[in-house]
Amino acid sequence: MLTIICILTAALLPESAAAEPPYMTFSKDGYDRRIPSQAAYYPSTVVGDNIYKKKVQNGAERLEYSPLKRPQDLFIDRKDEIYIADTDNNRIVHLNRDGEFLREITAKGMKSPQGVFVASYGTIYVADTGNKRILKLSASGELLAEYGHPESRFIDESFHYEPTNLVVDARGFMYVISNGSYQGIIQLDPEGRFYGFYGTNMTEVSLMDIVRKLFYTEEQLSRQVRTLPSTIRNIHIDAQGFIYTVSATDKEQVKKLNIRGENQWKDKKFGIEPRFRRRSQAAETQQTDSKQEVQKSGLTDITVDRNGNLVAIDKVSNAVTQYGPNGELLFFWTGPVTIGSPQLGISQSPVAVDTNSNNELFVLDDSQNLIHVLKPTEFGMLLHKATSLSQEGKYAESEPVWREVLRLNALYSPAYQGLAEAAYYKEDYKEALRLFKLSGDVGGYSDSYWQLRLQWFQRQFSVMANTVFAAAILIWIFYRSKKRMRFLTQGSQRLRGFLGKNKLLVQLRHAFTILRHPIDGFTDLRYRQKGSYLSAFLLLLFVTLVLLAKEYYTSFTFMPVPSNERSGSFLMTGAVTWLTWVVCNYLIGSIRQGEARFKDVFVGSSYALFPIVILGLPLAAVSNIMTLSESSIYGFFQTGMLIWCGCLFFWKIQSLQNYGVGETVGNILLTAFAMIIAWVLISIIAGLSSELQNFFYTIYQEVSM
Amino acid sequence: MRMPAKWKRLFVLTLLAAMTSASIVTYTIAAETRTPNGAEAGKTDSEQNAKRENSAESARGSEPGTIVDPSQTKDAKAGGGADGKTVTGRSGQTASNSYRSLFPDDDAFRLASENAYLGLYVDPKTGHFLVKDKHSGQEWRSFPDANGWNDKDNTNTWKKHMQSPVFIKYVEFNVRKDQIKETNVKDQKAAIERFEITDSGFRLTFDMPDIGFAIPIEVSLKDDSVETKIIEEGFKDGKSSEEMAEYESRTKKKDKNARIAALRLYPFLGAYTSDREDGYLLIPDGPGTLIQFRKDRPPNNNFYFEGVYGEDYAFSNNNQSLSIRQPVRMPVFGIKAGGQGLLAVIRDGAEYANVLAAPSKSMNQYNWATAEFTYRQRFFQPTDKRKQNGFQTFNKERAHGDRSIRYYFLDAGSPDYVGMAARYRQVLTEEDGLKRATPDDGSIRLPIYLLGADSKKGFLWDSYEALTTTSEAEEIVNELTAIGVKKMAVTYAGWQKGGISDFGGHFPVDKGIGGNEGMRHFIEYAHVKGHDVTLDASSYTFNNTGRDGFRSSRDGLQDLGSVVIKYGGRNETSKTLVSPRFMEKVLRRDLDKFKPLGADGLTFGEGLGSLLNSDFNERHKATREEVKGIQQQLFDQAVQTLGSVRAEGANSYAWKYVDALDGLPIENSFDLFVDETVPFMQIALHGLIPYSSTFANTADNYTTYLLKNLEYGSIPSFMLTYAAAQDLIGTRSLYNYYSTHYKDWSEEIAKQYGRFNEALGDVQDRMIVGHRSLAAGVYETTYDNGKRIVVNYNESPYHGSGYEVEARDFAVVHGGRS
Repeated sequence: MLTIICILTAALLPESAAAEPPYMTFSKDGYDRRIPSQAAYYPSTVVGDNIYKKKVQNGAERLEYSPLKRPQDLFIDRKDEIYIADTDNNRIVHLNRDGEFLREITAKGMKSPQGVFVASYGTIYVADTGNKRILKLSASGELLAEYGHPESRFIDESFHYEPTNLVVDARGFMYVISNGSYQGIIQLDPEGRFYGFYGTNMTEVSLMDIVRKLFYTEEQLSRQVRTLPSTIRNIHIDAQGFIYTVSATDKEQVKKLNIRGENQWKDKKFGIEPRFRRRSQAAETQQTDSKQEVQKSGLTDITVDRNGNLVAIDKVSNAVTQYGPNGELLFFWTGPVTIGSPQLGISQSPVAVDTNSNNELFVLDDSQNLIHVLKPTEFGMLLHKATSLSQEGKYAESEPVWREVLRLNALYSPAYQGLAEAAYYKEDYKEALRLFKLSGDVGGYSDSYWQLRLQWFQRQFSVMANTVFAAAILIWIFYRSKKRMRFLTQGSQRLRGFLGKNKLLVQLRHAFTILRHPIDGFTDLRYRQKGSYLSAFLLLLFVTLVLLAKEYYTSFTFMPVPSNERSGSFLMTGAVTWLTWVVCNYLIGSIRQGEARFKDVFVGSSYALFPIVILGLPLAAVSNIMTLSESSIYGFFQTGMLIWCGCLFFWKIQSLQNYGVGETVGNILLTAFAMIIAWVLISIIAGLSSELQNFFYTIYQEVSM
Repeated sequence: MRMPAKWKRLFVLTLLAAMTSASIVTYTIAAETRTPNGAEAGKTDSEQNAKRENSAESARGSEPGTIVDPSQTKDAKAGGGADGKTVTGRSGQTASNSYRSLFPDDDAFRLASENAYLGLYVDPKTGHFLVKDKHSGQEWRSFPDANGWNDKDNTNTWKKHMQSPVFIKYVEFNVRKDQIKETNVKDQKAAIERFEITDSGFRLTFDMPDIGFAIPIEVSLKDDSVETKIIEEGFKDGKSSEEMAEYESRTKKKDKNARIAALRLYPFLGAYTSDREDGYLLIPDGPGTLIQFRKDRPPNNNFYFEGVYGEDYAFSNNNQSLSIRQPVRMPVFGIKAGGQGLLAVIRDGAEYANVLAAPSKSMNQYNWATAEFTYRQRFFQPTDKRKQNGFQTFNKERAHGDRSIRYYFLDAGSPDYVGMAARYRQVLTEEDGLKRATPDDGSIRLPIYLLGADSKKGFLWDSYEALTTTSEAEEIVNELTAIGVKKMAVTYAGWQKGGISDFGGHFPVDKGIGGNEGMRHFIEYAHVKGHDVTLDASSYTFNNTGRDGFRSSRDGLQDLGSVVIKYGGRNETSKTLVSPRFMEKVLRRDLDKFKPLGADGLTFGEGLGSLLNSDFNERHKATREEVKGIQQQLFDQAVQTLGSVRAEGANSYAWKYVDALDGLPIENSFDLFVDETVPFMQIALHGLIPYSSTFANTADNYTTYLLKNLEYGSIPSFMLTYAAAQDLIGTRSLYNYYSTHYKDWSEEIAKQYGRFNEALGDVQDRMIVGHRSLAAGVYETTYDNGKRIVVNYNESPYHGSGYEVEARDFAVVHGGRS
């Protein structure tokens, strides 16, 4: 029962289950993991697929079926009425709030209109793409004005003007997107005069461009295609007058522009990450079109609902993503692209999206020629309520709502974020600490811990001060009376004597000597038998244990990985690298007049890891009382530990192989080179032998059939 | 070990030299092997293209796209050309109505058999028949109805298909092994042989010597139904080797070796155009789904084509066209046109049948529904060890046995989906042996799923994560009983050794949740409180531990290419589908171990009643039909041994054994071309078996979910853990369940139990006799004791005659039918 087959066969089957919409909704937690969720929107119906227009033929009035044809834009006005730019039918279609056909608008030879906008006072603006102009129509559809090619000294005749979409702000300024225009949005004043460019994208310079610039001659550069800013794909304006643009760029895919054209969301990422795209589809794109891989983002349109949540649609991966008012990811889902069986709620080629006053989502599909309507689910509405309360700073009010969200979906970790903020606000730092950890917010966790530590210090100050004082006195007494406590010194001497006799312990203790006198220490390893395979293995064991302990006990602040995802697999990589190092270093050493035997290299390399044993545990321990503000200290010791190890390796080579500094550097570089070669060889041989095996198997299969 | 430095240097140098030369040699080998490999790759590429093409075209791909004979293509073009402007003028008058020339006239039919209800008339020339209802005078034809015929809307290919009593899909093994061709008895100029009138109908054989097919069929009358049957005896699915040799010596050409892949018998029985827009097709998608007759549809080739009892996972390897729809649980479909309706139930060979339903304009101008019987299935034959490269082909050995469909013609009084469902209920009781539920004490039994334990990926090794131990389960049961849940049916899942992600070697109950002893104690405790406890046994379908003497390569379910079928995603354990015969052995042995625990029974699911897969593993070979038998036997034996069985998502062949059904669908598969979900399955089952739907905890729209359950007469079910739901993060199998903590739900459960008891408590043994929409978003379900439940999905109250339904609420209306 529990193992509903569709979930378990994710690799095999598209996800679908009884009573669930044909897509699975996900969110992302603080650890960047995909988490399942109830659907945020539920497919409700389709509209625009049964348009019958009245036609008078031979005096008799009859209804004619007149479906949409490659529509490109959708607009929902204040009264929730729907306007569609029915591009290939050269008209604007006007539907009522239930999706029933009201009228079509075909003012003055409209040709392939791709954009439509209806102002709050009812005026209809149409991007009449085919005629390269903007049409301004009255609410009843009469022509008020038309604006052609904008004229300005900034725009020359060669400027290709082809308006595809537009929005109009409260002042009547028009923001027009022209097909292929990299200068940005064309801003026209209410009279249609050119006002300026707005929201221009930055040129994105790739690494290859920089390389080219460095090495190409001027002539070659002039022959290069100029790197131009990406064009803006689509545009939206929200109730506050912020303008949102969508572009196919790497960064700033979605911009929230204020009136001065400044992006409010500079460092936010939008669009669905490739790893969340459907696997089957990714495979498909690999096969069919490598160009799609290049496509940075398939975002085609955005809209902002009444709660300030942003919904973006992605044509390439057929995904819908929803962001909260601050641009944080709330939900996403991707539709399976199944040829032949289109499903309700899954558009195959989404081109435009809009919401109405009930926050219902309308997605226009230009291949199915209809609009999918998705209703927010109870869970979705609850979450929107919670985010908007948090957004308004009503933490106390938001708390019960967040709790209800969590009752319905305990995995929805963004909710822990909301609760954690509420707890932090209430100065319940312990709770906040726990919740921030659940939500994966390192910063919040660290801040709460800082507060807790502060409280602890404040509370314990007197005790601590007294302890320090007492300890100081005790130490003083201890040293004063040291002479009198002979037996202690004797005891320690006896212990030392015992340690001195046990050969293994001597060898282990030698690790400390190496720390103090590396060059001599390493030499002693060999010539005074201060190291053996046994001690080396023991040291390696210690290193392993310490690393595991460190991985496990390092505080959340410095290792923000959920405990069940911390794994010991890094040890394997470490061990393999270390072993390759030992072998290659030995081989290189032996052809480069080195003196070290294999044993020396092995033992020496083990001893060189000793700083990890010493510093690993204290680091892990100390990380538990540190916050992010002390991260530089932690970082210093962490890198210090590694550098120390590195130095020891260096000295090890130098002393055991009897090299000068220059020779040692050469040796290290050669060893690194040899390591790479070794692994290339190993992988080639492994690959080829399996290929060969496979080849024979295939031949056998074909012959035997 | 002391060597002179010189020697040593020499040694190392040779070593390095050897390494380099080895790498050079391997590279050259690589280059050489690449060349034939490249050719190979080229070939497989083209094959893959073909495969892709095919998979797109196959089954659910696009029916009209399949390859047809060249002659037909020409016809099709001519037919298609008729749509063009140039031709219409000429052919407009002459061929505007060719219906009469294509289909037999009423005069051509003569009486074959009759009974008190129906008369069956046959046309021996074409093999078509006509059924007349003696009471209502309604007529049903085995070919398309005349009303609304428009020549232009049907291509010549389809005209021939529509004329033919049998539609044939075949594959030519000597031409292309992976491609389906379509033909029909008309194109093959089949001769009607051995025509005879039988006691209850007629029998004849379509003989097609050119291609080597012979299809004997029988049509017989039985009370209010007509059965059409393809008879195994005398069935010839291709030329014998002698015939092929004879053909080859005569024509000096290689025989194409055509073999039947699938058949449709009388596919256009009851096909109507959308001219009047007064009917619908009922398809078994979800609980039952309607496709209305509509004149205008957006131009897409959408139709319904689904295998009865779901996909056969023995054909799932490398199969890109696996269904995204819900599996078909019952082998039925229905047609309503105007005042007449029929219900079709697939009888013999249902496990090899697909239900095909096409609305008008998807292929031709007719709304039609039929069953397609598969004889050969496409599968992927891998040719390399990784099972990734290979080719698609069809199995050489065909499926055997009779194939029959029974058409029940409905009373003129109730030709709608309620009538269809009622007739199906009659089939279930009269023919399948289902019994009416015995009246209980008037309260419902609430299905509760408890999750025992799962394993979690740990820091160094997997950890066992107890979610509900047996003593904790007692606590949950105690609390729920205390706040008013009188009767529960507890299903304990994940009780087995190692938790829910460990398959195989179930016994003893894991120590981590209390062991056998704890389980026994819990069950006793629950019994005292008046609840039933069953243990989940669907996990016997899989194995991933190697316990029970299981070895994946030996005892796993295999496909025709000897690929063992395994599942598993990222972070999940991979698990192997166990050969049904092996599972039978293990479960039979374990049944006795359940007994001492005192469980009231088992809960079956997955490979026990839900998944029906054939097995081509040589050691445990079983056909789909045989596996169905195995499953039924296991159900039977579990009932015999333990007393009762519940089942989750069970197919109709298991219904007669079960005490309760879980996971009944309440929603269709969201196809764009369908119009409405109807509680067909629920109407058929209510009063026979209590049923519940999917888990309430994970419902997207909780309120709507509850209302839908009330409308459909179904009891909600809950999945609970004692542990907090966060503990499920990172588990191997349960990470998808986001709200299971019992504390979060107990009050809600008690509240809903009370509500549902009020609505459904006293009608658990009652039939649903009516279901209709009173207004947009308001539905009424009527039970045979006169109780009516009116559900209002709207945001505003609904005012009925003499009652009122609050917004998003329901009301119980007593009294006679209005």
